[in-house]
Amino acid sequence: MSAVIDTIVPVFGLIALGYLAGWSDYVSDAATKGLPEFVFRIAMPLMLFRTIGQARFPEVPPTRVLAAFLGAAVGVWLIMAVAAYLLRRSQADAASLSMGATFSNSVMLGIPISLSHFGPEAAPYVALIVLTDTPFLWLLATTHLALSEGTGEKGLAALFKPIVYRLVTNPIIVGCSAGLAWNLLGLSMPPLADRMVSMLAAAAIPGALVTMGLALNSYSLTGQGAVVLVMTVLKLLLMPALAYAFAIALGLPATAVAVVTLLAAMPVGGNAYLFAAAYKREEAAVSGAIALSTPLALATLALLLLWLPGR
Amino acid sequence: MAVALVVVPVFALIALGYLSARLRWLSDGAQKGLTEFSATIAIPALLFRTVSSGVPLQASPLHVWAAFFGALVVTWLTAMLIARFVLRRPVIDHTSIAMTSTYGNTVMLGIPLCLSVYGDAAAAPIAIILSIHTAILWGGATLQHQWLLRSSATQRGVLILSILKDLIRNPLIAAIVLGVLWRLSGFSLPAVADRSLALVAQAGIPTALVALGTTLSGFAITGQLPTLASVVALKLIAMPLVAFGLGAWLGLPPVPLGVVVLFAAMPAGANAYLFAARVDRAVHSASGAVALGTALALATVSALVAWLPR
Repeated sequence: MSAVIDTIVPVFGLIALGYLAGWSDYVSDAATKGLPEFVFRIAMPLMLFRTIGQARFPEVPPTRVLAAFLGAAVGVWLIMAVAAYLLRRSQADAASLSMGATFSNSVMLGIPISLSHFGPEAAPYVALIVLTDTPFLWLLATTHLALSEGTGEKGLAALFKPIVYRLVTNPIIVGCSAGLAWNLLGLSMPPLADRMVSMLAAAAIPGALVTMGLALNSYSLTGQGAVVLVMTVLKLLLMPALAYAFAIALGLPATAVAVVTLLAAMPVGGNAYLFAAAYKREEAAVSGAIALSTPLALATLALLLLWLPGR
Repeated sequence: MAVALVVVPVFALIALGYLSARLRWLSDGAQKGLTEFSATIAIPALLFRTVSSGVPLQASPLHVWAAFFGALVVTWLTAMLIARFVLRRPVIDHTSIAMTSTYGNTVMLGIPLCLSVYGDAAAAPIAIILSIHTAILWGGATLQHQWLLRSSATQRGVLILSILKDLIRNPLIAAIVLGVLWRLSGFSLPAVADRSLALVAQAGIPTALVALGTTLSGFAITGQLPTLASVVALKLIAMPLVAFGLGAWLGLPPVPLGVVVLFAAMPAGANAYLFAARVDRAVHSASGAVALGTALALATVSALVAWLPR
């Protein structure tokens, strides 16, 4: 019980702090724009690089971990597509809604919670999922959109090119990959560089959480109630349930089951909104799902952590 | 080696911020936003936490003030004399030159450096100095400048009032005052609240240093060489040496003495430049002092840290 409070209260406390600081104009809009740049281009990539670079890798085939997590995402994706049809949305809109129902806020929320609750043992699994779920879901969403809308004259390759470019230049993905490479090569850091990286890394988690809070000010609970509610329920309840079932069925070890389930239970992440905004599909609903699922996750994540084995 | 391990990462983070801004890895907006987060959220949290629960001050606050502000006054007067008789600058430039020679970057560089060198034990002397540092420098400089301009008493009154208002709204001072009150009240924070506070506070040092680096990218080494050389030498060498002399004479123990000397050794910060820009006097030298002073401080601060008793 107290371990869960120790994890959850600081995480949501910092989100609330960021939200209030932005809402009350205690910090200006400049902070809302400037802080995430530092966090996601410098502090977080270095923190991931350092944590993953030093982690001890477990003897679990990575494909099974990914199968559990991505399998749950695909399951929820299809259910959301059917729900969208029942709610009279076009399949092009459904691509955006499915993205909203499956895209976990793994970077801003998933990394802080899993590392602070399960410790560095969780790092390899977190890295694996963070590295694959963004590319996988972007490709899935783009394919879904292309199939329902047609690709026009440019063809599928033109559609994927900007995504691939964005992924390989994404600092978070670069940080994770560099950490994996460092680990596999068995390198070690000179003490001076390690001290510098660890100083910067210290800002990653608090910076990400305050950023999350600041960003929440820009999402509002508008959008059509039914769609927002379906997305939120699928994201917070069904996706972790499926992920847990798949993880157990695939015989993953306890920590892997816990991380896979926890990351699947994260509220809707900002990337889902980026996708919706980029293609002008259901932005209001996705924004609403972020605004609704994030505070509700305080309760669902607390319950989940109580039930999952701790470290 | 121990000195390098403490001092070099501090300056390396500044360099990283500088390069990130120069190479456009961070945008112009990042400088303002990061500075705001650090100075109004993370550093106040760090100060509150270390002041309310850290090691108590091992010396009389009056001795700490006397050593630090005594050195400040001596350096201020020396700067005025040099400006008058050596540099032969017009009288109206003197306040700005004295300000650039004494107003060190205590917050963005001083706090990270002292906490890295001495740990939480540095918090109490840091708080003692910071609590009146801005008031004395801005207040004193503004009054002197207005006096040199021969402005009326009401104008001065209005200025002093506006400075006082800024001070009350200053989150750093609020954090120090609240920290001291909390400490005196004898309450202790619930563990989970302390954990949350610690989480925000741990972002204070890295964000302050990177923010300082991004700010530096806006400063160029400009100004007339004689003025620039004298303000930088006064700030980086004279002021810490006088502070050390006074502190040792007053018998300060190692940690308060070290904080007094290192705070006195801080290069001019953006605030010194802000004063010069506001009164529009010796602005180029102030910009140069910030840029050159911070770069040279790597050497002077390393030497001081190696030399100071621990």
